[in-house]
Amino acid sequence: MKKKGYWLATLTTALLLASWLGLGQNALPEGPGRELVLQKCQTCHELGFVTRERQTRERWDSILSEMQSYGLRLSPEERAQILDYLATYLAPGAAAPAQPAPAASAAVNGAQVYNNCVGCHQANGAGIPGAFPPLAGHIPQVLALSGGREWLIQAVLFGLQGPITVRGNNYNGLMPAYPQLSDAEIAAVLNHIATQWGNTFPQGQAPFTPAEVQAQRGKNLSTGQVYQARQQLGIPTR
Amino acid sequence: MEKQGKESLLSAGMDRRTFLKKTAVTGAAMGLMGMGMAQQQPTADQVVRGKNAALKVLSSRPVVLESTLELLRAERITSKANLFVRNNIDLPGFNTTEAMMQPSWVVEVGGLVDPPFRITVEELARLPQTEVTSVLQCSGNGRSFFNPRPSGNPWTYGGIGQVTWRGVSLKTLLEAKGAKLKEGARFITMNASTQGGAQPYEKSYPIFVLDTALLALSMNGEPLPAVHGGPVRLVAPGTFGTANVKWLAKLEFTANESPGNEQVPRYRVATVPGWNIPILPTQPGSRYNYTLENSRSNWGANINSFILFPLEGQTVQGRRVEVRGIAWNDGLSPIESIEVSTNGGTSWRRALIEGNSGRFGWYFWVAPLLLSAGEHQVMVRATDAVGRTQPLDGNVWWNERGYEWNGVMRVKFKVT
Repeated sequence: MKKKGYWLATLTTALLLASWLGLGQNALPEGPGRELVLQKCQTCHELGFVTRERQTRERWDSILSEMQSYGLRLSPEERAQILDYLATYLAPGAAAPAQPAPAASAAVNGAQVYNNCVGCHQANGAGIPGAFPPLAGHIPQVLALSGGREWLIQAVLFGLQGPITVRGNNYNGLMPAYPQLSDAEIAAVLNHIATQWGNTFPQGQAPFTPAEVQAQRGKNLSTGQVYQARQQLGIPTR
Repeated sequence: MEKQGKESLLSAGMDRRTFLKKTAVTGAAMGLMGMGMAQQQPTADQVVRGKNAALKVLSSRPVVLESTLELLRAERITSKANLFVRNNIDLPGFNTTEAMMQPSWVVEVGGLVDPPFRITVEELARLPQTEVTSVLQCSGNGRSFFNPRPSGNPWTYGGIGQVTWRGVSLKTLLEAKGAKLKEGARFITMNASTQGGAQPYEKSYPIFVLDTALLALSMNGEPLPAVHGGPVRLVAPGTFGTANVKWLAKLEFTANESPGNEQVPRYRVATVPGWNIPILPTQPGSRYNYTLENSRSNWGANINSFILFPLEGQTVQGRRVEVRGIAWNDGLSPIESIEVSTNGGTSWRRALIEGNSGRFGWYFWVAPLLLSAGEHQVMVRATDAVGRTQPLDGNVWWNERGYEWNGVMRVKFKVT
């Protein structure tokens, strides 16, 4: 019994620490080029591959070339800006950026959680042609459908895979699952994307609640099942 | 490490349940605390269904999960829940330890072979099967110990496991199909499936592995888990994991090594062709322009050994202490001697080799030592019959991408 209590205490401490540290802020120091790194580097892999490295300019240069050979598209200006950023802020010996101070209240900030999404859906919610659909203008289309709210939660919790058409354009990328986000964080980020870039909730709809997220979490769907569910919603393609 | 006696590796050391609990909680706590460092990191069981939450998530996309010495020492054969994962590509829907049943999955066999043919997994399952227990290890395992630290996944010791594969040997396959290699076939080049829009993954082996390689359909007596390459994976026992291509779609006999990214510059170390040195020593921190000619691929696993009991920082009961662990190499020559030192390498004494799991598997060893109370450091090194051994300072093999670390392992612990 005593032991059990100890582990429970450890776990609780860890959880508290985690919620204190967490909130999805990428450990990329502020600096010119940071946004570009966020946009470009998360299309194929998670950001940890970048943030944990401390490399010389020369090495970063060849890493960038390697990524370009894998299909990373960069203009010469973008490449120079990214290289400057990496060689400056992720140089050998560079310290990890200070953790953001804990928010005054424990409230979850949807805009911060959106850092998990920005690489693909972009800061302006416009997505990336051919790969990642826009959220701007599209989220209200989903919310307006019966089952749309639940489906949005499922897409975040379980991911999505398969060809889709959104506002006249075709996309065929992969949305990873985010089961690691808490119910409160998923509700917050959904409320964020439902109210940004001119998006609004359909009349009469209330913001997402953590309880709504929790209700979907137990379903444990595959990306394919989320895709099928999307087909059945009847989302307009225009 | 409580009572050790002469129990098997599995039962030695601390009570299994206790440490599984311990590692699970610490693992979960570490994973959660890591959240503040980058994006919020999910736990291993969230990334891949069926994985032990105590594995470290090095990346969730593509999936990279590291096992731990605590987990590895609890099993002679690494279970699918505890085995590391190093994906370069993730196939949609394959992030699970369940089997991947895709009817009529086809492997195309072509290139310098007559006749070329296609074979389904069902057909493969009907051919005579071969079983082999072998060590599966990421060639980047131990990368974190290089100084300065090369780019790449920060593996410590957990990018390794030992599993039992079952499948159709390449020789059996060619015989069954009446296919003969053509002149000039010097390499085997493999491609993973690109289903679901996955990026291509292409690797080559020298034709040398034809004698031992198999198309694996099962692992540890179960259908091959999807995340480990199911339904079919090319396995060449004694080699690093990188060219054991998962989700095998195409296998070609070729005149040359693939010129693709995965073959060069990735997964290579500097060498001089025809010169008798495993890795060309380079100045730590320097650059190297890898070509197919001035370097070699991470093929055969180099000789290495780990201490599993005690672990770093543990307190054990003296004075009689049984130090235990594993050793392995590429299987080309038996491991003859495993030695431990408790005085920083001034003198060494032989450990007893208790047995192995076939030439491609782990050799289990034990060194009974009489140690006084206090702090101790134990080191281990293995040597095979052809004299290949491990450097006292693993950094002599420093290479830009941090592959093939096999420096002598040192473990500090306390005797009471």
